[in-house]
Amino acid sequence: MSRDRGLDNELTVDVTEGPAGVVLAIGGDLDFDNSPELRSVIGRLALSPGRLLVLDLSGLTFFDSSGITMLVIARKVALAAGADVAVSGVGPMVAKIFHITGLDMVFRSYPDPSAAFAAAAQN
Amino acid sequence: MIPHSTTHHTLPGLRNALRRLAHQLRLPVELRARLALAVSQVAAGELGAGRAVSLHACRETDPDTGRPVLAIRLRTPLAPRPPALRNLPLPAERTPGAAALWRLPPPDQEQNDVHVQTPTVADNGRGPDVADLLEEELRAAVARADALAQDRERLKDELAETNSGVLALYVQLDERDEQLRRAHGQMLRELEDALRPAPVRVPGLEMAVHYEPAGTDAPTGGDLYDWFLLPDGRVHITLVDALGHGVTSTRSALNVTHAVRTLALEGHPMDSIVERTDEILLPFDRELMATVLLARINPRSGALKLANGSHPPALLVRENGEAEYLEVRGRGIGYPLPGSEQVLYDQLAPGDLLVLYTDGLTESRRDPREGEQRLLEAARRHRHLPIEKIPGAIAADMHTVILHPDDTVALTVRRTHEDVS
Repeated sequence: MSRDRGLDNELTVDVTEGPAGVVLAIGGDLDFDNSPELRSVIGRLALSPGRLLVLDLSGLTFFDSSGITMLVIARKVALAAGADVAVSGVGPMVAKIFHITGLDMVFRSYPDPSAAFAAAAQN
Repeated sequence: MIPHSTTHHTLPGLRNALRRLAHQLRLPVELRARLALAVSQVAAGELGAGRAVSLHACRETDPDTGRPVLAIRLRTPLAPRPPALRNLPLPAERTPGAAALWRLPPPDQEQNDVHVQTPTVADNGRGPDVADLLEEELRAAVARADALAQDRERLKDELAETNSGVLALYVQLDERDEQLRRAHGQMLRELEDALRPAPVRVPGLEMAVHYEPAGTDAPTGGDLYDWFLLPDGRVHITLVDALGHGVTSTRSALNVTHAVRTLALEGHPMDSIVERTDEILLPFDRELMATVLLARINPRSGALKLANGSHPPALLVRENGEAEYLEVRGRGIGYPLPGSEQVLYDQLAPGDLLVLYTDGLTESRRDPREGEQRLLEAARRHRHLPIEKIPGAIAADMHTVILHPDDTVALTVRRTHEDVS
């Protein structure tokens, strides 16, 4: 697939707000050059105590240390607002990076956003 | 002679009278030519229609300037409406008393102007031959055209010279710009060299490093390494990858290596150095994020100890070619839950090679899994080279295709076969 072979894929950021929280879907390539766009989106999310931020990474084709930083920042923003955070749609490449960086110990991971919200509702 | 007043029924008659008059009045040749053409142009329509015109010349005082002028008037008393005065070779005024009025400088004054051609046609008593007058005018017009053409050539040459002068200036400025850029880059590289310590010289181990910042625009980056001898004789190696690019990330990386060095030299337990570094540095820089890998090697025994914070795993290549990644779980400076979860113990036998690196080495093709496999093969392939050649050889293999440029460090340590005594 040409997407996997490393041609540049534009970053896509989609915010879906719902009753239980926010889904931030990040797709394409996330690297140092375009991470400021994502950062400004994160700063404007509607998070508050009891809500859940789900970072949906199913569309990610590439991310490096800047991408890691964005996830860590999103988590800080959520926790500072009293909200919870989880990731979903972690594919093999992202899983590998999570494993290397030890972030698999930090983020709860689900197959998709609805599973994340379901788990949160049970608590 | 003036005052002059004549009536004319034909265009040739008008032209000849005017030319002779102008010649008599010693009007400059070009002025005469223009006046004659202009008068003809205004009168032509009337004379062609069979209506007479009259020509008058006298000295007057210009009402606006108070100066004496020569006034030439053309009257068209029978014209149904005044003739047009557009596009005349010598502009004219319309006045109540005449169809056209030309106010000229009196000839006596003009003789002081060296650029004006005064008539030279001889007067044979009856008046000059009009053909001679015409030829004189034509010659003057041709001379003027020639002079203008020469001027134009000269100006073209000057312009071309100026243009090439400006171009040369641009080239000079560009070169100077390039020199400044190179000097700037050189200075930063020298500064960077000053930041990087030489390999540790200790019997039993040999080591080398390859460092490649992301691009010439950013000669320093966030990747850094440190190595030194501990008081107990072991070698300590640190690898750091600080987030970002440019000098800010270099400073972050430096802060980490310095903190780690201080803690290590003070005897701080290796398993908590990463966590302690985070505690020390974050209050000063809340934005700091860096991965860090620590390695300790005993040169006599080859005993290896690793601690890690989010950094890619070290690679151990045995002398016989067997290779494995040594995974150590943990998170780096500025990460959530910072600190090494564990410490890994292993052993370097003589001839075994340890490879430490930053993700710029394995992620040039954007897939870290594929990068790890290629690194393993490259390290295995080059493991018998002299130590100072290994890091560069590995980096060259890894960077045959660069889809994602990043700072790169490749650091290799090999336990030597020499007897340690």
